[in-house]
Order: sequence, then structure tokens, then C-alpha cells
Amino acid sequence: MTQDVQELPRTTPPRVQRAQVTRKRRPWLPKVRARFVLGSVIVVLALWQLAGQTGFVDVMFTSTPSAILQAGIDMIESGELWANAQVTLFEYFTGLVLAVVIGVPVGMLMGWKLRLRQTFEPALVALYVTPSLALLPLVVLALGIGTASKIAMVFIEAVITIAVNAMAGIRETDPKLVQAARAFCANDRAVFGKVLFPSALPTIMAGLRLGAGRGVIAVIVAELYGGTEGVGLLISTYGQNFSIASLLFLTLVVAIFGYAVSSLLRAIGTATTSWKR
Amino acid sequence: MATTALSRRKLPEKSMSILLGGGFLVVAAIVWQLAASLELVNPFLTSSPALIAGSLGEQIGSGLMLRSIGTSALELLIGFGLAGVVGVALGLVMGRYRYVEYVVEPYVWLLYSAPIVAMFPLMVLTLGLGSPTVIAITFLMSVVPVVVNSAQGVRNVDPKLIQTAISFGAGETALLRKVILPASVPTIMAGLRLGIGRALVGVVVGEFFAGDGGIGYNISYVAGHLGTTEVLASVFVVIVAGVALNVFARWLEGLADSWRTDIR
Repeated sequence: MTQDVQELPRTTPPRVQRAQVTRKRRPWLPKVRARFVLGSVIVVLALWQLAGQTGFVDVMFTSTPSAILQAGIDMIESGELWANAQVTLFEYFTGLVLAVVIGVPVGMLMGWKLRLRQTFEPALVALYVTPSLALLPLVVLALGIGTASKIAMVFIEAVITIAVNAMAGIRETDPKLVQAARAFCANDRAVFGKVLFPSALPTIMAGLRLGAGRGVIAVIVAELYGGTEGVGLLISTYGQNFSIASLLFLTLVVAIFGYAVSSLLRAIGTATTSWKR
Repeated sequence: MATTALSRRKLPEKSMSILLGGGFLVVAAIVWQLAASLELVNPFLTSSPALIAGSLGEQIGSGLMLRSIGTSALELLIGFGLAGVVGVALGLVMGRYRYVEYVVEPYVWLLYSAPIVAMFPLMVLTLGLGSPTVIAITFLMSVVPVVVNSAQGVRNVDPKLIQTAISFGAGETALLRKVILPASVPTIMAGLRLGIGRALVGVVVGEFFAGDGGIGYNISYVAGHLGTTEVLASVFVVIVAGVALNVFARWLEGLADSWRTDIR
């Protein structure tokens, strides 16, 4: 009763206002954002360059944008970047694919079967909240400093995140949906394929995105720690020579790669779960 | 009646999960121990629970463990403390003022995707080898989730609350202190919880590369001397620390949110 009285005089004017505002703002709002982002980046780069060139800060520590660009061009032209990136990309995607292939089914199974979940959840969650990178020296001891230890590290980092999310996705399924499907005589396979899996997909995709992000850091840190080739080794070599421009260029490349992978997975997630919205 | 029936059904269910979960860990430890004792696996590579427990006892006895934990805890505290203060402040401003958000946004995302640890040579160059560099890595690793969540929290504050406060003459300070901050506390706390997880990664990995003491440094140092048992003992400590920090963060989260549940 009181709600009705309160709402009646309010609803009409704001709605009209809001419609006007959105009509006016929608077209220029993204533009303003782009302009500010671009402006901010340009100003920072320009200040950085100026500060370096005028000797206001020591180029030894900070380098300059132009030096970073030059270092990048040199590395691309000499083929050094691509030769090492190939190795890193191979390690990264092998580890990630393994993590997906194992993590998603295991996680879903744990979400589905109560006893399985009760048995393995504490161990899994304990690993989830601890930095698995702490295992890196151990993995190197067991598998050596070659490709295998990097793949293992990406796998360990990614698989835990992916499994935990797949489990959560299945568990968050509305039990009413499962009951309804059961009431219509759906067997286990149908319940899984038509109810549980579609319902869990958004969470699974979120897990893939998080796992992929953690994997990028894992492969680089593993290569930094010890290796014979790869972007991480390149970073470590340039770092030890205090060639800051090359170091920053490579860090930037890795950051952009990580951002791209996570954006791609987000886009795939949105596309595959469009019915969710 | 209904509640007793419910609790009677729930109680065995809860003890069942403790039984199975704890049982799995115990069984895994026993199998591991047996495999190592019977030399089914190479104990040099896999160590064994008994060896690890012995090593833990020895490290605690010699005071090395306490010293390492102290070093790492201090680095975590300073690095994450800074990240908390800077992250929440920056996040609040970003959430409140759209233009600040646009200006700062690209760097936040860059920081989030960049392998911070890769920049350790640069940090060693400016901050020297040891705790300051580890603290810097910890700070940079953990600040992003705090910033992003705090900004999100402010953006999600019911605009009606803000409008009401303004129409009652609230200034920007009062608005921040009495409306925005309390309303965004749950999201901020979630960000802090995510941040402390990354801070622990920062401490451990930072010490691998740039530390001169602490748990991560120990792991890396003894691994260099092929001490699987000592490595696993330190890893065990890291796992315990990770779980404890997470439980603590969740408890704080619940505490900060407890006044809200009454309304629902």
C-alpha cells in the first residue's frame, strides 16, 4: 500500500528523464572514454620520453619509450623474438590444453558426485588458495630445466583453477531444473548434457579465463627460473645485462599476450553462453 | 520438529565430508609413506611424510623456520598493507570520478596482465637485493584486484542512496564516509581477499628471484642443493599459510558483512 503511494508520483518524470539522458549519452560516452584513455597513454609516454631525454631521470633505470620501441624492432628483425616466442607458445598451449582436457571433466565430476567432492575438495581448495608456483623448484628437480617442467607448471597453475570453477559451475545449477528433468524421465546422460553442462558453462568459461591468465605468468616465471630457451629466458638474459629497454619490451609483449588471451576467452564465453543474458 | 529433522540429517552429512576429505589426505600420506619406505618410488625425488615432518621439526628447532616465516610475513604485511591502502584509495576515486577511471584504467590492466616478476632485475637495480624488492613485487601483484573491486564497489552503490544523501546536504567527505564506503565494503573486502592470495604468490616468487631470506628463498635455495625434503617442508608451510590467510580473509569478509544480513 505505502509502496504504491510512494511510487506513483515518482515513476513518470524520472523515466522520461532517463530516456533522454541515455539517448544523449550513448553515442558520445564510449568516445569520451577512448579519448581519455588514449590521451592518458600519450601524455604518459611523452612525459616518460621527455624525462629520459632531458636527463631528469636516469635512462639506465627507466629507459624511454623510443628506446623500448627500437629494442623491440631489433628483436623482431633479428628473429630472436619469434624463435623464443615459438617455444614459449608451444609450452603454454600444451600445458593449457592438458589442463582443460583434464580439469574440466574432473571438476564437473566432482561437482556432480557428492562423495567424490567430499573426498577431494579439501585438497583441491588447499591447492587453489596457495601459490602453486611454490612448487616450481620441485618440478624443476623432477623434470629438469627443459620444456617438460614448463608445461607441467602451466598445467598445475591452470588445472586447479579450471577444476575448481567447473565444480562450482555444476554445483550452482538450480536443483529444480535437475528435478524437473528427472521428473520427465531424463537419464544421467541427458541430465548432464542438457541441464548440468549448459548451466555450468559460463562458470567453466570463467575458470578457463582465470586459468589461462595464471598460465601466462606460470610459463614466464618457470622460464625465468631456469631454462634453455623461451621468452622468459630472453627476459632473464636481458635483465642480467641490465638492458632495461629490451626487458620492458618483452614484459609488455607478455602483458599484451595475456590480455589478448583473456579477452578472447571472454568473447568466446559470451558467444557460447548468449542465452544466459 | 522440522529443524531437528533437518539438523539430524545435516549433521552426519557434515561429518561425512570431514571424514572423507580428511580421510583422503591421511590415506594419501600413508600411501606416499609406504611407497617411499618400500622403495617403490625413489625417496630422493619424492621424499616422504615422515622425512618432511622430521625436517619441519629440525627447521623449527634450529630457529630457521621462525626466522624465515618472520621475514616472509613482514614482507607480506608491508607489501599487502601498502596495496590495501593505495588500492582502496585509488579504487574509491576511480569509482567516484569517471574521468579518473578512464585515465588510470589502461595502467591497471597492464599491471594485471604483466608478469611483474619478470621486472625483478629492474627492481633489484633500484631497490637492491632483498626485502624491498620482494615488497615491491608483492605490492604490484596484489594492488590490482583491490583497485578493481573497490572501484566496482563504489560504482554499484545504489544511486538513490547517494542522491538522498546529497539532497540532505551531505558534502563529498560525508558522502564518502557515511554512504559510499559502508555500501561498498563487501566488494572491497572481496578484492582484499583476492589481493592477499596474489600477495602470497608475490612474496614466494619474489623471494625465488630477489630474496635474501624467507620461505620462498629457502625453497629456491635448498632446491638448488637438491633437498627435496626441505623443499617440501617449506612448500607445506606455504600451503598452511595460504589456507590460513584465506580462512582469515573470509572470516573478516563475513564480519564486515554481518550487519547487512539482518536486513535481508
